[in-house]
Amino acid sequence: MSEVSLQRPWWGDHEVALDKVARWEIGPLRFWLHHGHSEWRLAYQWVEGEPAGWGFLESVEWPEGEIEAERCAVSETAGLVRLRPMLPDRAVVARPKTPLRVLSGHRARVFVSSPLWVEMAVGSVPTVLRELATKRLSDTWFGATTRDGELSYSLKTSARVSLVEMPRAQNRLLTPVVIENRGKDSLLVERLNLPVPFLSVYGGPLGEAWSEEVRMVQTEDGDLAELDVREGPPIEAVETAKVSDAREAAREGHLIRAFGSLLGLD
Amino acid sequence: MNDWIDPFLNPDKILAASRALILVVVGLLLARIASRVVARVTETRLAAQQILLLRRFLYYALVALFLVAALHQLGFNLGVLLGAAGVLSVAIGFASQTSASNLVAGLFLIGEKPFAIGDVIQIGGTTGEVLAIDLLSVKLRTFDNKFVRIPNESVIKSEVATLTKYPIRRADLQIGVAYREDIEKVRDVLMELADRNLLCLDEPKPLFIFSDFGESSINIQFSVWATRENFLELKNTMQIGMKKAFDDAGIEIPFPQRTLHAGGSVRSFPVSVVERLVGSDEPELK
Repeated sequence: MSEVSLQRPWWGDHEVALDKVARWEIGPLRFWLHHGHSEWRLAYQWVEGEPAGWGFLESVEWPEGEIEAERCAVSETAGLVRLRPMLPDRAVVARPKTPLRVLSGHRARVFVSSPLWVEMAVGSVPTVLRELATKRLSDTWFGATTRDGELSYSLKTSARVSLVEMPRAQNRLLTPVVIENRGKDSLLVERLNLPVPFLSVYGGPLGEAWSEEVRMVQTEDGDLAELDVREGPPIEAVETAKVSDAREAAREGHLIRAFGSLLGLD
Repeated sequence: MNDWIDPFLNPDKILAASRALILVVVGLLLARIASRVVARVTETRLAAQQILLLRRFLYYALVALFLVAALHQLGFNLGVLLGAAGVLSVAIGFASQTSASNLVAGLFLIGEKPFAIGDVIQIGGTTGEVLAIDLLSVKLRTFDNKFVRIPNESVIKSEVATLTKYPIRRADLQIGVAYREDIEKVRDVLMELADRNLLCLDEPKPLFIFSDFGESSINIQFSVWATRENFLELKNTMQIGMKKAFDDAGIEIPFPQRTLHAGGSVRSFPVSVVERLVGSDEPELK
C-alpha cells in the first residue's frame, strides 16, 4: 500500500492491478475502483466538510456498509485508470457572501472558485466509465421568472478581488471574471452566472487548476451581459497546460443573463 | 350476353374508363408525394400533431379531387351526386353530433396547444402522460398504467393542468406544530433542512408561510422548489427530513386534541383514583 505525494496533480494515469481495489480521495469525494476480470466496480461517497487535499491508495479493502456502488462490464483486463478534471455540466451561479457593487464606468476583476468533476476512463484505449462531482452542489434556478431561465448549480463563494485571499483546494478551479459596468447606474452583483460548460481546464504541476478568463460586459440597456471567454490560461496561471476541453463551444459576443435575479418571487 | 357487354366495349367508354383509372392512380401518387413534402417542409415549424393533421387533410383533399375528376370522365353528373351528398350529410350530421363536436374541439386543441405529446396532465381526477391528441379524443397513460381515452369535448370544457409545462415546480408542504413551540426556531429548522437537501433549489428560495391557528396546532406551509423530474423525490425526502429534524430539535407535531372546560358556574368533571392496576404503581383513573 502506498500513498502518492500530494505535491502533484490528481489527474493523469494510475494503474490498478487485477483483483485489487484502489481508493482515491479528492476534496470531499471518496471513490473506490475494483479491477475485476471482466468488470470494473465503482463505489463512491462524499464526506462532510471541505477537505482540500487528495490521496490515492493502490491496494485497499472494498468499502463496507451502505455506499453507492455500480458495476461496468469490459472485454479486456488492462488496469489503466485515467482521471481527468472536468468542469460541471451546467452553469454555476456564484453568490458572493457579501454582495459586490461595481460602479458605473468601472470594472472589477474577481476570482470564482468552482469544484471540479472527475472523469474516470479505464482500459488500454481509455473509455469513460463515469463522471463524479468532487463536491455535490445544490441545484438552483437562474432566470427572470419561473418560466424562463436555466437550471444551474448553486455556489456560495467569497468572490475575492485578490488572489492571495482565495482559499485553495486540489478539487477546485479558479476562474478570473472581469465585470465591466458600462451602464449609467452602479451594478450590484448578488449573483453571478458563470457558464462553466464553455470553459476548459488548465492544470499546473502542483495540481492547481485554472480556466480561461471570462469577461462580462454589462451594457446600458437591459439585464443581459455580453460574454467573452479569453483564449488561453489567465496571466496568474504559470506553467499550466490544457488538460480538458470545454464541454460546449462558446460563441463570440454571446449574450447571457449574468447578474439578474428572480423578480418579485422571493 | 353480347347485348349486355357491347355498350362497355364501346371504344369511347374504354377510353373514358382508362382516363378515369389514370386520374385515380395519378391522384393517389400525387397525394402521397404532396403530403410527404408538406410534412418535411413543416417539420421544424409545426408540432407533430399539427403535421399529422395537415398531411391527412392534404392527402384526402387531393384524393377526393382526383376521384371527382375520374367520375366526371366516366360520365357521372356531379350536380346530382353533390345534391345527394348534401342530403346525406344532413342525415349524417344529425347522427354524429357528438363526434362532430369532438372533432371541432380536437381542432381547437391542436391549434391552441395547451399540452403536447409526452406532457403530464391532470383532467378532473385523472393524471397521466399524453400519448396522443387525436381529432376525437386525447389518450392518456396514467401512472398506474391504465389507458384512458378522454373525448376532446370534455377536455375543452374542463380545467386541465399541465404538470410538465415549466422546468421547475413548487411543492407545498403542510405541517402543524404545537402551540408552545417557538415559531422562529421551527422556521430555522425548516430552512436548514431545505438548505441541506440537494434536490431543493436554492432559488426560488423556500417559502415559510404561517397559515393559521388550527384547532390543535399552529399550521404552517413550507414551500420548496425542485426540478419537475425531482419533484416527487423532493417532496418525500423533505417530509421524512421534517419529521426527523423536528424529533431531533424536540419540536412537537401534535395529534388533534380537545380540551373540555366546564366553565365557572358548573362544577368540574369528577375524576378520582379508585384502584391501582395490578403489578403497577400507577393509579388507574376512572
